[in-house]
Amino acid sequence: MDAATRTQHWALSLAEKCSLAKQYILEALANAPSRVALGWTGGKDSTVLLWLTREVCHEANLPMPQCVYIDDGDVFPEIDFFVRSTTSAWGLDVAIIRNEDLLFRQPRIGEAIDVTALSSTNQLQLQAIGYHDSVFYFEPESFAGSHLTKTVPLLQYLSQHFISHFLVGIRWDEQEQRLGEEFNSLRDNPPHTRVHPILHFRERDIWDLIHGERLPFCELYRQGYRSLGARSTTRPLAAVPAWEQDLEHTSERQGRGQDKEAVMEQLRSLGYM
Amino acid sequence: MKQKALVIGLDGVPYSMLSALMQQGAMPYLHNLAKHGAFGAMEVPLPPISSVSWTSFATGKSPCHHGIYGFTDISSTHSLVFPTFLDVRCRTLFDALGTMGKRSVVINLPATYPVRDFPGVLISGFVAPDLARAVHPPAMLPTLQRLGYRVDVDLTRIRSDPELLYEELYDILTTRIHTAELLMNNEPWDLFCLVITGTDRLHHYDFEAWTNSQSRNRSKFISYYNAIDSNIQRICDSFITQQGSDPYLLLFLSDHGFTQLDAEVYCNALLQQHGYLTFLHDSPKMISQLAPATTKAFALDPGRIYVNRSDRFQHGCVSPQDVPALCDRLAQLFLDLQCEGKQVFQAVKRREELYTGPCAQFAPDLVLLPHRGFDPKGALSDVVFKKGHLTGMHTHDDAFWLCAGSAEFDPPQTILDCSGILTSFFMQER
Repeated sequence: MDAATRTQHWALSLAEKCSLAKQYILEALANAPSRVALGWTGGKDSTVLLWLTREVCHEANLPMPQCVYIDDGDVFPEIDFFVRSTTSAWGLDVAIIRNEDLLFRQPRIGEAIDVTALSSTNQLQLQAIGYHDSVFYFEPESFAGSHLTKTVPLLQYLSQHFISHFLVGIRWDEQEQRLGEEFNSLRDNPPHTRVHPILHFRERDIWDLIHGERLPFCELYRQGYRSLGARSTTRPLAAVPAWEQDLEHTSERQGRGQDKEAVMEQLRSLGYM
Repeated sequence: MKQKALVIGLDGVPYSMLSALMQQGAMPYLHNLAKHGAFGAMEVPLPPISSVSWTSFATGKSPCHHGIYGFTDISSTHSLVFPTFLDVRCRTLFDALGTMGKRSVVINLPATYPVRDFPGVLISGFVAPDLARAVHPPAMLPTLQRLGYRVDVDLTRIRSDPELLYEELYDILTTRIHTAELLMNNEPWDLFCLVITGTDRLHHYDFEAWTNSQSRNRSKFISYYNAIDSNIQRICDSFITQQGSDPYLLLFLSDHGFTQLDAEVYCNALLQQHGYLTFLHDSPKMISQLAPATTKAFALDPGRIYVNRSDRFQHGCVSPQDVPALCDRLAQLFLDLQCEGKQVFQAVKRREELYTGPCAQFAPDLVLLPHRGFDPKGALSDVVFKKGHLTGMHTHDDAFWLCAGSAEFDPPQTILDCSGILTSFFMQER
């Protein structure tokens, strides 16, 4: 998406942003209601997406799509609790998916697993991303780790359920790599459309909506977390609740441990590690 | 009247070396300041490593209060974690000044990554892999990018071609000083803090140029310090002129000493040879691959020994009542260690001796204090003693401080005392 379009969208009022999001959701649902699913992480954005989808289903008298929750083996208990309580409060149908072959071993974070001990599917998936080490380290947020713990079970779910439209709560202003995203984006493995209805929401919009509509949110945000990832690599950004932080001038992704490899390389060159 | 303080950190510069450089005439400006002000040696908390020391400077507290014990740490499931600025458990000097309405500009202070809400300008120092997350306020990022600002010398490049070391050091120094001058003149500030880390990199990679007077890089080494001295002079002269008759404080300090490295000591190899440490696999790459059921103790950089206690680690196998006796045996093992007939460690400190604050529970069980020349390592290795490409190592003593300007204070004994000098300077009624 180009900068001018993004700026136009960001300038909309919150009500206008919601109604645009609902249009995209309705379009997807009207297409093939039984083949739509929604990615729910228990985070603030996907919970807002979930609420908007409930509103659309209610208004148009459509069935709620199934929600997909990925258990990557390193989940905050607070997120687990939030997902369970919201599932029952909102009467949701939630599919909890995980990489069984990996997680039944109950690996510790950082634990080394022989690649040959993994299932042939997992071995093929590692080859597919160019991973040729003989040992796989269980770290949900490394490149290979995230591929096996999150991407692989999701792709399996999408193909097994013949999903045609998958709703995801990403936003342009989350991080730079998201800026090019479109509201509807075609994927070919398996063939389906990724629908990003709240792409144009700012972090502030999310909190305004959550507070304005009294939506539930995970307790971690009150403790200062801004963006939720794997438990072992995610930190709070300040001692005040997320919505009281300087959302406009600090990055919500700062608390996410994504440059571990770069850090390790630099420490090594000074003889540390 | 408006009082202002300027702090310049010289990472890894020993008091003994700086005095000698002054005597030799290589650092005339600092020499002159030292003659008119006060100059001395101080200690830093154990372990002597930049992230711990600079956090101690920034908070005025020891590691058992701020919670940073190294560039790496170990989680309750034995995975290796990298403590960040967000993990610092107590308030920094800059936050405290912020509540007094004072604004700080901080450039290249190690262990302040990623940036967070900050009363002033903060440009994080090492380790800071992504500049976008190393700058507060974020609006300052384009300016730094335009200047070609880099957090550190390209260590990977230097490792592949050591000839590039001095070129990289000058390049980084020039941009850093340029950035400092720009912020000094265009930002409002009360405390300005600039850390030069090239000195530490130089010592790690070419300390021999200092210890060996025959080294072919000797004159390059001296010239680099000469360049630092003249750049410091330019910054200080401009600051003192701007201050006019208003009170000012100049504080220079280092975060640890440095000495020649004779041998790297791989503590985990020693523990493995004596049956205290076992791994899940034959050729382990990281300490997180230890076998929790059979490991009694393991080491992290630099010289931090952890007992695999069941009350600390989820899969720990040493029960709390067995810890004291095990620590005795481990201490003896390290004290008995010799290299070519020389004792390697002068002392082994217990957690209880060093750390008593609220974060003591995260501290190592033992900290090794080596004799000069022996650098304890946490990395994995097949042999206990090795000599790699690095030529210098840190010491916990022989760090320096130098103070000039209109402040009255007791000479700091440790780096913890430095933030007190700054806060009392700002609190003085004038």
